[in-house]
Parts: sequence; C-alpha cells; structure tokens
Amino acid sequence: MTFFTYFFFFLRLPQDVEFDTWNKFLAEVFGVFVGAVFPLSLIAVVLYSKAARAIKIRYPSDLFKPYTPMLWLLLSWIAGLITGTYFSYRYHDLFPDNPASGGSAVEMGLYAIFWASWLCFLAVRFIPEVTPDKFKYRPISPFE
Amino acid sequence: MYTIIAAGGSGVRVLEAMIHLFACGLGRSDAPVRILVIDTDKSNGNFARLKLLVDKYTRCAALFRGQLGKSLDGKAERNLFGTELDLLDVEGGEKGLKVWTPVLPNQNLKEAMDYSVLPEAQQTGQNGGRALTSKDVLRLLYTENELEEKLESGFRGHPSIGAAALSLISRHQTEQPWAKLIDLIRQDVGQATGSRVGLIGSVFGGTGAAALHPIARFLRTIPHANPDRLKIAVAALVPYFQFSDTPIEGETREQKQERARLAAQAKWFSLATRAAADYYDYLRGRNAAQQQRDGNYQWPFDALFWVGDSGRMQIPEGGVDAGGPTQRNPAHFVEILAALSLLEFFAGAEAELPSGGACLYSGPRQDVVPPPEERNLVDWADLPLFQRKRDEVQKAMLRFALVGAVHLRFGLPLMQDSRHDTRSQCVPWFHDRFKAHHQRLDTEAEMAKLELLRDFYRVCHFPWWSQVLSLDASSEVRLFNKAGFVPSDRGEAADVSLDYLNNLLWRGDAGKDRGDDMDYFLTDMVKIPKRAGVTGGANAYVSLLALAADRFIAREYSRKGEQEG
Repeated sequence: MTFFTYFFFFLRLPQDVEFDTWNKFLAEVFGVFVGAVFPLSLIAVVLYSKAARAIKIRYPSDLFKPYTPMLWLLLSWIAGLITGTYFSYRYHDLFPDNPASGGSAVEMGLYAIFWASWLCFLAVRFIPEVTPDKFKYRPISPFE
Repeated sequence: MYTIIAAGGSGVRVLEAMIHLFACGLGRSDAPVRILVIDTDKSNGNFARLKLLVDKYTRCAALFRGQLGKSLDGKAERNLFGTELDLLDVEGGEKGLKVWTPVLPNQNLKEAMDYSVLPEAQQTGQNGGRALTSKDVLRLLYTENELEEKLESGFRGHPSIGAAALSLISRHQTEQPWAKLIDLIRQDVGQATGSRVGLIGSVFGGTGAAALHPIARFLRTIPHANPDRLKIAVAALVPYFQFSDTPIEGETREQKQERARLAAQAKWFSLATRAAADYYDYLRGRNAAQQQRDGNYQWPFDALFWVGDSGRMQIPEGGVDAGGPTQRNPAHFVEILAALSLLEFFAGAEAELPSGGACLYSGPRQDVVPPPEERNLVDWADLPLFQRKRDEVQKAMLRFALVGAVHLRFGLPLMQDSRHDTRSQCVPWFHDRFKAHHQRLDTEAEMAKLELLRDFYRVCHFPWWSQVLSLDASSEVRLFNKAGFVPSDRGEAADVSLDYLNNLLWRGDAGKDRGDDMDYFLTDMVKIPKRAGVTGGANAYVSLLALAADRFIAREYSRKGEQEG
C-alpha cells in the first residue's frame, strides 16, 4: 500500500497489472489531480470573492437577492472534468486490455469535484476576507 | 442644577436648537435640565413646533437615555438623547412643557398694571414713602394704543410693554411653575455645585427683550444663602432675520395697516438692538461704579453672549411678524450658536466660567478669503466653544445624523420586511445580535420605539437641519452638506440620502456621492464586536447604529480630513 492507493481508495488494482506500474499510474494521475484541483479552486475562490465584493447593498431589498457569486465556485468543477478525462486517456493508453476504465474515470472526476468543492468551501468560510462580512452567512446556496 | 428660561419667539427657537443638541448627546447627563418658556403668544407656530419636539424628545429620552452602552473603546457613554428634561411638572398640575405668561388671556397692559385702581396723579407719602405709579405715569410712558392692545399674541416688538408686565414677576412667585423652580434653585445653591441658569431671548423683539433683565434681576432675589452659587448667563440675540415686505394674497389695505400696527417690524430691529445694548451698557457701567463705591454687585449676569448674523435671513410673511399660529420662522444657525454658548456655560468648571459680567459675542465670519459673494459664512470653526473640543462636537452631530439616516432609509424599512427574520442569514448583524438570542425587533412594542425614533428624525431633526442649511440668500452655512438632506415623501419632513453618508459634512465641491456608502456602513455594523453595545430590543439596535457610525466616521471622515489637510 502506498500513499496513492490510499488517496485513490476507490480504485482497484486491475488484473494482470503489476503493482509498481499501477502505482506509477496513480502517481501520474495524482499530479494531474493536484495540478487541476488546486489552481482551479484558487481561481474560483478569487473570482467568487471579487464577485461578492462587487455586490453593493444600497437598499434593504438588496440583502435578499440571490447570492450569485457562489456560481463562480462551479468553475472548480472543471478540475473533475480534467482529471477524469486524463484518467480515462492514460488508462486506455497504459492498460488497453482492461475494460473497466469508464466507471473509474467518472469516479475520478467526481472525486476531484468533491475535493475542489471542499477546498472552496473551506476557503469561503474560514479564510478571512474571502467572503465579505456583510455576506458571512450567505455561502449556502447561490439561489437563496 | 441647570435651568433654561427661553423668552419670546427667538428664545423658543434657540431652545429648539438646544434640544436638538441634547439629542446629539451635547447636553448634560449629570443632572436634569429644567425648561421654562416665557411667552404671551401660546398660539405661536414656533411654540407649537417646540412643543412637538419636546414631546418627541422626552419620549425618546425615556427609551434611550443611559441605555445605549459605551463607545467602542469603552471610555465614553453613548449619550444620544442623554439629557433629561425637567418640565417643572407638579402633582395635579398640567404635564408637559410649561409656558408662563405675565398677562392673562385677553388682558391688555392697563389690566395687567391694575390701571383702574391707580391714582390719577402722582402722589407721595404712600406705600412706605415710595411713590405709587399713577395713571399719569403710564400715560406718559405708553400710547393709548399700547395700553389698550390685547397682549395674547405677545408684545410684538414693543419691549417697553413687556418690561412693565414682566417687572411684576415677583407677584407670581407663589404660582406654578415659578414656585417649583424657585424651590429647586434654592436647593441647588445649598449644594456645592450650585445652580446655573441660562436665559435666552432676542433684544430686538418684544417678549425676549423685555424679559432678560427683569427675569435675571428676579432670579438674583431667590437664594436665601450662597448667592454666589447662582450663575446666570444670557444668550442675547441681535437681529438675524427680517421680514420681507411680501404682500399676503387677498389682504386688503386696511388689513395690512392693522397688521403693521400690531406687529414687530423689521425696520425697528436695529434701533431696538442699539437701545438694548445702550441700556445694558448703562447697567453694567452703573454696576461697576456702585461696586467700586460700596461693593454692592447689582449686574445680574455672569456672562452675556451676544449672538447674531448681519446676513439677515428674509422671512416671507407679509413683511411683519404678527404672531399667532402662522408665525413659524425657519431655523437658523444663530440659534445653534446661542444654544451652544449656554451649553458651554453649563459645561465648564466654575473656575473656567466667564465671570464678572463678561460679554462675549459670536456670529459668522466676514473675513473669509475669497468672500463668499458678500454673504456671511459660518462653519465649524465659528461654533462658540470654550469647553468642549470642536471635533467632538462635530462628531456628535455627525454621528446622530448618520444614525438617523440609516434608520430612516435602511434599518426601519428592513425591520418592516418580514424576510429579515425568516431569512436572517441575509442580515448578519440581526442574526448575531437578535435572532441568535431569540429576540425580535418587529414586535408591536419594539416597532413603536423604532417609529418614534423615525418621527423624531423625519419630523423634527432633519427638517430643522434642512432649514438651517438653506439660508442661501443671507448667509452660507458650511456645517453639513445641504445636498444630502432630501425632502421626505410626507409634507415638511426630510431625510438624509444614504448616498451622502460619507459626504455629509460640508465640502467645497458640494458633494459627489460614491453611491455605496450604505454598503460600507452595513459592513461596519457587522464588524462591531458582539460584546460591544447593549443587548435586547430597540436600544441594542440604536446602540449598534451609533457604534457603526463611530467606526464609519473614523474611517471615512478621518481619511477625508487627511486628504484635504
């Protein structure tokens, strides 16, 4: 067991594939995972923060408008698309005889989305000044 | 230990200014301020406005005085509405603002002076050797018209009539409200802190001009002991307005002549002022001579503040001031200067007070370069302060205005929207301070408090400022930014635009609004630490507004000051 097999706990070692080869593959995917999730989360949070700051409250009714800056956080989900696509492409490349890559690629994509969303949530809620104080209880839903 | 006696229409308007200053927290919080109005003209529109103000102030003070916690640094009390008014109520008597008149309804000077029982000619040897005033003397001093004129609408620019009526004040000392006031002043002088009395009146009109000296002289007779502990200051108003000779629509020539016959006329204001100044100068000189001769000190004033404005605001009311309900003179900055003079007199330690009959003067500057189109100019530097720091006074007025602006146009409408409660996560300051403690601000009781505060601002405070700032034709008032005061949707009421929160002080460019001031103020409300302020109800809400206003002022106005400096 290595860090990568722990990290990608939902992936199973395919039949007829050596562990070292699999581990190297996971390391490669991990690199793409990190390279996609972190920058995209950062970009999403920065754009969210800018959009939240751009909203000015002038009248009482402004307080109850939908909190649309949260939509920028969806940008981080692209990391799922990138990671899942890359996983699928490399899996077929390295293990052409193994037919089980489709579902795993989706799982990988969703896993990346989970991580990106979690990172965004932490940043939005706990890093000071990311969410303006006037909206401190708003990061729940973009439609509320 | 503090007493204000306002005489006549101008005195009433200075008192109005003073109560607005009390609301800003610039009054006295250590003891109640007693208030008495002397005016024969109870129907006067100025008095009706004052009565409304006193009523609203008293109710606001009952809710908020001493209930708003401390400033953010914990050093100063938040003393909005911090002065308690003592309206000299007595058990079983009429409650509310007292107006005392030296003449009975429908009485004329003849009746007030008991003319019918006076001897025809001067006789000596009666009344303990002193001569009784005779009908001859009255006929010598007064015209038949003056003797016969009904005085229910004031002395109308004839101080000689008023002086005669008011010299009889000692006859009324057992009647209310004098009996209570006299008793309280005697109690005051029995304590080390003593008693301070501020008299207010114009020297160019009728009632005020007639009242100042007789009242002060009478007050000096009150203490049985420690007479030095009674300090009397006077805000003597010299002309600062005049009546423009605009014809009243539909008025006949005879009606106009009758009105002119009765009323105070602006053309006599300067002469009346000169006569008054000469009279006080004579009294002061006589006092100095007498004091030198026998040590007897008779000048009744510890300080005399002369306040006026040569710019002369025009009052378009048919050219004359005939009194009655239509007399509703607009507010003027001179009234603020006069009110501040007396509050400074109240604020000082005894050693710091002007003494020995000091005469001080205040008014707008005329030496401003470049001159503002031959108009007088008044700005914050002109406020007659010798006790308090100028920036603190400015900050108190600004804070109060910001609290009102946000309350009227944001806070109250928000509380009237049920979503503030159902979606309290959208209103973090409400969520943290109220919702989290299962409190509401939209209950009937709390809403009544918030609406009372709204009325104080919208009906009394902002319209008053709006009038003070709108003297364009006579003087230029550089205190607040006039552009920020906007008419409300109801009658004479006024609001402050939320777009001017960071630009409410006068600036040369008349104010470019940034457009997001409310947004910054809202952020300040959220950033106030939860431990600050007070908890519960409308008090907590007003306290929060005041704390946020402090934070807002410290950031927005200090930065602006630095940039301009």
